[in-house]
Amino acid sequence: MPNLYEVFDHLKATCREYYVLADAVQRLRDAVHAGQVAAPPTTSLRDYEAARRRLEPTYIVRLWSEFESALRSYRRFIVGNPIDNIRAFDLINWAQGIKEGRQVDDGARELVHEVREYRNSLIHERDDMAPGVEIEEARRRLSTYLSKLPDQW
Amino acid sequence: MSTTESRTRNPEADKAEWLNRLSALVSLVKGWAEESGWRTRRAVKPVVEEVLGRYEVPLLLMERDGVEIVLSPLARITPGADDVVDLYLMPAYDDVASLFFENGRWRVHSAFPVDPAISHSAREAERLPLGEATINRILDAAAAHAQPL
Repeated sequence: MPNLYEVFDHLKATCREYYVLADAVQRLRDAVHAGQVAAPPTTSLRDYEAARRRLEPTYIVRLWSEFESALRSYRRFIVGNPIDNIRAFDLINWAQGIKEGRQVDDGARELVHEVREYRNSLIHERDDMAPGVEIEEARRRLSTYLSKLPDQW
Repeated sequence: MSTTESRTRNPEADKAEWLNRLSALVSLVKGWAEESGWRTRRAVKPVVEEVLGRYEVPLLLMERDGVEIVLSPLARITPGADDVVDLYLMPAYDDVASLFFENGRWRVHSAFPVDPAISHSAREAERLPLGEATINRILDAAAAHAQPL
């Protein structure tokens, strides 16, 4: 049985994992730059910069995946259709009407759509990148929207 | 032998001890919060740990004047740390404080300044003994930072 607080924990854990890796990459990059350790064969400092730059977007995608899975799970529970294929855009709008858990400000939906747009532009490498959302802010927005759901379903 | 090593010898006994400790903690905090005007309710959530498997832990939800805080156990066995229980501010699940079981008693590390006289750097290292006054100061400090639901 899916549990709201377990989903919150997964979102938190995703962010914490990102913080650890970001710190590790930065320290390793600095150590390579200072000549304290050797970079792996065929790599250079430029690759460390790329890894550092692309790490947060990777974790934004993972964060979104946790959020969307939880919301889809709740929708399947409500509509009783195991192969429900609603688009993410419509799923978020559908969730606006949920009143099983906490009251959430109407503006929360648009904040979630901004995260979705950013995630989509990362996945599809669009030329017109959506404005970025920092991972902690993304987690806060997604957790807030999910708090509409009941404790368990 | 470290605490973590001694815990892994009998996972079932270990889990039972942890759940008893959590149950006592929830009852204690529930009583203190209610004394200070927080409405409370209990819930559960599953946790998964490598040694103990998947099992349910108790949660405590506390609400006052539209501000909601949840007491949420994280893990019995964590590398380099003792039992960990977190306090989060709803609805964004923001960090409020962490409770650690050390040397036979609970200690609290708050994300918010519970004493303005203590600097941020000193607060980082500060782990206060768990007690009614400490919990209420932490709940009040978190409530002051919160946007009511």
